[in-house]
Amino acid sequence: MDKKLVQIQEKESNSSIMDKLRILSDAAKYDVACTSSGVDRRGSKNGMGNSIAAGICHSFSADGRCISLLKILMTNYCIYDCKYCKNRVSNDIPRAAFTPEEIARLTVDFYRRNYIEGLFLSSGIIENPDTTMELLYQTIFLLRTKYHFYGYIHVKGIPGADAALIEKIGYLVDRMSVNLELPTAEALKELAPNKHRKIILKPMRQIQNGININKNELVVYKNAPKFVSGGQSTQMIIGATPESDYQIVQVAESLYQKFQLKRVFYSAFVNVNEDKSLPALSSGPPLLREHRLYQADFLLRFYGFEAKELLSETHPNFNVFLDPKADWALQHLELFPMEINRASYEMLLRVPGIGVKSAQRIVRARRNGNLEFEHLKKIGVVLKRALYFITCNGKMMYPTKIEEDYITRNLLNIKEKLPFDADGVTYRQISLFDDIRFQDKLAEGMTYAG
Amino acid sequence: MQDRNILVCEDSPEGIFSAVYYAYEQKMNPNITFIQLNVVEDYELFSKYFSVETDFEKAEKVDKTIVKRFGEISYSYLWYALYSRNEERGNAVYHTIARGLSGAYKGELVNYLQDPYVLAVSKMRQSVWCEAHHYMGFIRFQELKNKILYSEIEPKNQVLPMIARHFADRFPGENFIIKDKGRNFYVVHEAGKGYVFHQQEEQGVTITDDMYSKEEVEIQHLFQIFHKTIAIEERTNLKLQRQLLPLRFRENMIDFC
Repeated sequence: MDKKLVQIQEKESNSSIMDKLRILSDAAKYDVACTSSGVDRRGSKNGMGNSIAAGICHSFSADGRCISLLKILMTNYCIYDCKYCKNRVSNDIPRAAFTPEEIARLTVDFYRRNYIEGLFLSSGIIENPDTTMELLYQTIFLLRTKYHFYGYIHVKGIPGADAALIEKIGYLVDRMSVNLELPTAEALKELAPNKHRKIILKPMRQIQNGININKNELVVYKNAPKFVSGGQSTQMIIGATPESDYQIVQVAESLYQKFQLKRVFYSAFVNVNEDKSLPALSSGPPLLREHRLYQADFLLRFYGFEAKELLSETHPNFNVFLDPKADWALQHLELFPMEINRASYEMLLRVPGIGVKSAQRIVRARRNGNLEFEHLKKIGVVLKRALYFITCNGKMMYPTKIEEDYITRNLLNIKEKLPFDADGVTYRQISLFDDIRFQDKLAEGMTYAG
Repeated sequence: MQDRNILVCEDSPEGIFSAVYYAYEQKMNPNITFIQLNVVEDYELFSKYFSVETDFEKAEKVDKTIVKRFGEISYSYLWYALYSRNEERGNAVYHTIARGLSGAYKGELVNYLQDPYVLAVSKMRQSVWCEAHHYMGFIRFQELKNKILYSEIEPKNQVLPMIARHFADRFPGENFIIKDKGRNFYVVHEAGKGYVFHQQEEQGVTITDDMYSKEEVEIQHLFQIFHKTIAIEERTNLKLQRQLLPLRFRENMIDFC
């Protein structure tokens, strides 16, 4: 084994599990994906654990994010120096490293008490990509074989690691993800000097091919071992570099199409390092932008939209006030109003206020006779949004104008439910003090006065 | 106005099924027949009251008819509705069955959402399913000295049957007990075997810290640390946290310190 690794491990054997957990969960918290979905696996008599395709949230942390998996780093020692990352080599922060045995024990102890749905294991680059991946492999091998743990495991693929290692680990885990880190190759070059787009995409492609080959094997041999059966995902940081929403959505779309990813996660940039090459964010992480991107992402995956329908070169960013679907509908008023009792499922999905569930319910229920507005309400359609775009049996709910300005005004009057909106008030009387910069000045003035 | 028939039955799935059987046996018109659970508090004028005894054989016949006539999906919807705490569950289930047997629908019975009773069953199923799913995540087991995993919950609906099945599959090698505090209803799972339900009349023992195993407190503490550090400070949003993990669940969780 590498000398440096041995040194680190010796040094680490003295610190307590508690300290390590504190350091290594803190270091892992910026990883977005915590989902435990996509795999249905029954429990097994000789071990512990199963997996539910819908995924299970076990708790929610103070930022409102779901805690489903024990999300930790193997170690936060790292040889890379990515400017946005807290664990970069040039930062002087407390470092720690778990042993495979420690992680396995912790996972099982938490899992038995139903704190978690499984493990999400990532790592800083210790020594080199191969050593790191090998350590991750040892941990998961231990969990699956010695502890007979059959819960959910999500592991990060380390770009640059040996293909054979990635293949080996793929047969043990439910999901693998390789971080794209930043939307474009140029941004990556600037902020993550040790990483290259090509090297990131290589394991992604390998996993994709592995999954496809495995699917064919499973058709022939039902009991063939499964390879990354929960699919792969990736994540990118939003707002650290100057890409437009259009570029980002296009990148996501091509990842879904060309790499068959299950999910792309977006992470609003949090400026932990205050590096000079990174933007200063006076109003905190760009949460609204992240939210709009997730909305668009769902439109791509479940609503049959294409990136170019939502944005364009001339209209490169999402509307702050309207969600992407309402925005799209307002640009395509010629398609509306739509008759609920006749419109196809695909078209129903495009109506603001109708989601996947209500569209499915409409299609199923209308086989037994025409639907009225009262039925739609009970089925779960958000009528105050949908009413401008639909008819039931040829009638609109209220007499309304099909006119962009009129509908926009009315849609804006409805409070949009935003997940990060602390007091729940989105629209209020405009006051003199609404100017954000003015508020800063006000605060400054107060400190001077004090 | 025609006199209404009110069937008074025991508040249990078998009780409701017995009432459904009775209604068909007596050839009652579903449009004027209703089910009342347990005791009657205010008798209505112009209503005939029938007291229905719970009969397991008849209930089983109804159960079999449902799965045979309406298929697995509708069958599971009706059962979820039976576990709901909604007081109209008896009526919703009975009238959905009546609608189904009348044949005035196409496709899957529970998709016929224009019918108010079918819609009610679908809503009840949704709320029971959601609560069961929440508890699959939010239950916390505490390890006692004898390695038994113990947990208490306070669900609104009767969710223990769904939860028991889930955990029996997940932890086949563990001894565990889950207690529904409000109902004094227990599920007891024995390692390597199966699980049984147990209804107790009185409040059982309360678990105190000194009954924990040696490592229990330390592991709880470890999870509390994890729970705290995993949050991104810049994104703090307690309102969202409360929305997704309502306070009523937190009483039996060890996550917060």
